[in-house]
Amino acid sequence: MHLPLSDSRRAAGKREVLRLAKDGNVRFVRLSFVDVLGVAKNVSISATELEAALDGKVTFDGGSIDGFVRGEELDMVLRPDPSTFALYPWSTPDLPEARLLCDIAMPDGSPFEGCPRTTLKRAIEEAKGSLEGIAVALEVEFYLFEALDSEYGSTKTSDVGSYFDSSANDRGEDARSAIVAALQTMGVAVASSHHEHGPGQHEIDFPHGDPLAAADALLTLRSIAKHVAAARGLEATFMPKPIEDRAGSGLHVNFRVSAEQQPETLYMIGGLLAHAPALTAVCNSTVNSYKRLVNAWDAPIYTVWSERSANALVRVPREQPPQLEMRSPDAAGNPYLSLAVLLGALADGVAQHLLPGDPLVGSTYDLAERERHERGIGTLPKSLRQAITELDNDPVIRAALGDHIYHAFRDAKLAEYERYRRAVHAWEHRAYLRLY
Amino acid sequence: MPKISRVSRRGGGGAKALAGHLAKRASVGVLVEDAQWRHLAAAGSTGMPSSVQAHLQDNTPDFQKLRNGYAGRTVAIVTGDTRLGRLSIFGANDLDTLEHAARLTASAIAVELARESGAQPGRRRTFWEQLVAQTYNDTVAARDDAASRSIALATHYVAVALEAENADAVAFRVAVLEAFRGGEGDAGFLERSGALIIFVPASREVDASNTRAAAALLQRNLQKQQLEVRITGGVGSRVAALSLQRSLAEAEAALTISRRLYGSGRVAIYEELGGYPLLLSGGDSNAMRDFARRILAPLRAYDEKHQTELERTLRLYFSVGENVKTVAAELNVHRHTVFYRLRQIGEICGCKLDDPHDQLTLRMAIAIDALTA
Repeated sequence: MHLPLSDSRRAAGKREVLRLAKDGNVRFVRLSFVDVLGVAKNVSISATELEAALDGKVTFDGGSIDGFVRGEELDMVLRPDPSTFALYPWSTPDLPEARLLCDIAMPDGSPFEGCPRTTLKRAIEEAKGSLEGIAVALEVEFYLFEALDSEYGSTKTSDVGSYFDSSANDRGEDARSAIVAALQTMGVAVASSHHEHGPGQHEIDFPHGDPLAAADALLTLRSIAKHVAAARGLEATFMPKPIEDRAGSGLHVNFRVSAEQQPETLYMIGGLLAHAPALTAVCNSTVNSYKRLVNAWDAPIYTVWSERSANALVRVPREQPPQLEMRSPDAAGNPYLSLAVLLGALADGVAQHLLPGDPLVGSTYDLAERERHERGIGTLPKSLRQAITELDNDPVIRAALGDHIYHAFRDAKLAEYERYRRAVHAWEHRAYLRLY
Repeated sequence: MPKISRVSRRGGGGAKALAGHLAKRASVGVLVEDAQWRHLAAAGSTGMPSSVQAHLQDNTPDFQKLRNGYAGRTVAIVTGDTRLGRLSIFGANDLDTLEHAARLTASAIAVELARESGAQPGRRRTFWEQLVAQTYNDTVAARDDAASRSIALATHYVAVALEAENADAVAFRVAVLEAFRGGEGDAGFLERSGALIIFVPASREVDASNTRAAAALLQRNLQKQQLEVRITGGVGSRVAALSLQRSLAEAEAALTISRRLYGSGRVAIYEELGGYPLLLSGGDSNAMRDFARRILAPLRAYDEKHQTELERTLRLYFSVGENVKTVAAELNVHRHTVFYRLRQIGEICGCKLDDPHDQLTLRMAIAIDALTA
């Protein structure tokens, strides 16, 4: 796999980590990992334990983490990736704190099948033959709202800006700049950032890199954005659709195809379209995700590709080298699993010579049912429940997840959907309470 | 173990019945996949992966252990030199003792799969010859005769004509079969004047566009498979099954044009050859009118739907010697608008306005349209 190492932190090894920690007088190190749902977890250790941690001698109780529920997962081992060592930007001189992203291993040191980061590494390894040289860039959208004293957070914003606007009195602009600066301090390269469509909505773009670095960067952004926003009286949210009548927040995943693989581009598009319904379960993994995937705000709803249409599922501008922009995912899911299944779909497209039909010209929202049938265009799932059924029926995407994660993810998401289904929502009160 | 053929018949057919029989008798989980790793059958309740693709030690036909932690064994389903898929077993303590049973079941499944896919080649060929000779009065008659020969006739087809140099005939045919999968229905094959003709089922437009894309990628894929073969070919347009003769004629014309324009090593798409087929055939006025309509149709449909004037812009662009400034002045728009419209025209027509071949086609269509209006 091609590794564009613009990011120097990726070259770090154990010795260098120990030296950096010593030079920075680091007191504590957070060993971070994600559960199956993509929620960041961490174990904080004293700097004196760092060497032991780097040798894989720190264990934790996996039984209490979502997706690690079996009896034998009680003493899981954390295996820090030295290349992810970074000082937190908010560290004070008297309390310097760093983090390391970790893989999870079994007590005997063997890889744990339920570790999302390991799953992405396996997907990268398996894709080596068919996706040689592919690089991934992410465009991450999120909202910054006023931090109010409410139980679930607020959706209030004084920002009135829109796409690419620059507003002098927008605290969000300053917060976004601070987030970018913090990321750069931690060694995470940022290509650009700008105001997005909705008031209070912003976008941060990461440059092309290897898929693991991209997933690490997104995980870091989610954590940094919340910290930086909170310090400024704001709240950052990557929730896909926080406000009904405003643009949702997506995660556009750009795959840059290498010159050697260029003739395979059509197959890669074919793979993404063929597996799109099942991919959706993983890349749009909350019940709220499906409120973004509607025919508005350029959100994709059909399995169609285009060179220019902003609401196509896959956009492939006429550029050299070719870039495939997958536009349906959102940033609320597990970035490691999202990229693992996307790579699985791309690789299957190449292996099976899946073809995507002709590109669409114009808006996908105008497509009549007959035209969709003739062009072989399918519909993305309209709910998390539908998406899980699609996942159940797609052995390629299930294999990309691995059996352990597939079952753990499926069980957790079915339970989440059932809780949502039973909840009585404010809309139902408005529509029915007085009517009936 | 009872006779496998009897088991197969009793189970209502092929792989599923045989997998079920092995699962029951040996108390194992059984998974059968085809050569493209598509699920064919599964039996037994023991935990098994959705596919063994990621768990193979290597892709030999040997009876082998699966890797990545699965307690399983797998063996290829083979007929002659062709691999049709894999049979895998899971769960029992000593799976190695089941090698003979697994191999026997795989052989039986191979026979079933070969029987399903290869019935009556001679009778099939005759059907396709009759279909292109237009001997059937209506679709029902064609479909009935096709069914009597175990052919599922699709509603529409795309004809592909291929000539191969230095080809290993069997390997070439296998590669072609793999490349042109098409949609619902059976494909047909003929040989005419040294060319291999494939009738690819295309019930939906997407099947036709994928056939065109597969044709364009065929030479490269053959090279990737290290087949020392150089192909020249043509692809006709999508037609109703009864009009297959027209698609065949187009495919053969495209093959001829491809050979003359580009030499060998390229498959040409009839619909993308623009005015060349017309020049080759010296078409009559009806053919010319049809050509002009076909080329300009996407532009006219777009103009009508979106109330734009792209066709007018294109005509003007050609009539003033491709001078964008003059076009802008005539249409009373900014020249950036003209550039934008020209880009749109290229996208809608699927062509490049700076490509000499594409420009010839558009200029011919506009000229013929003016003459025959």
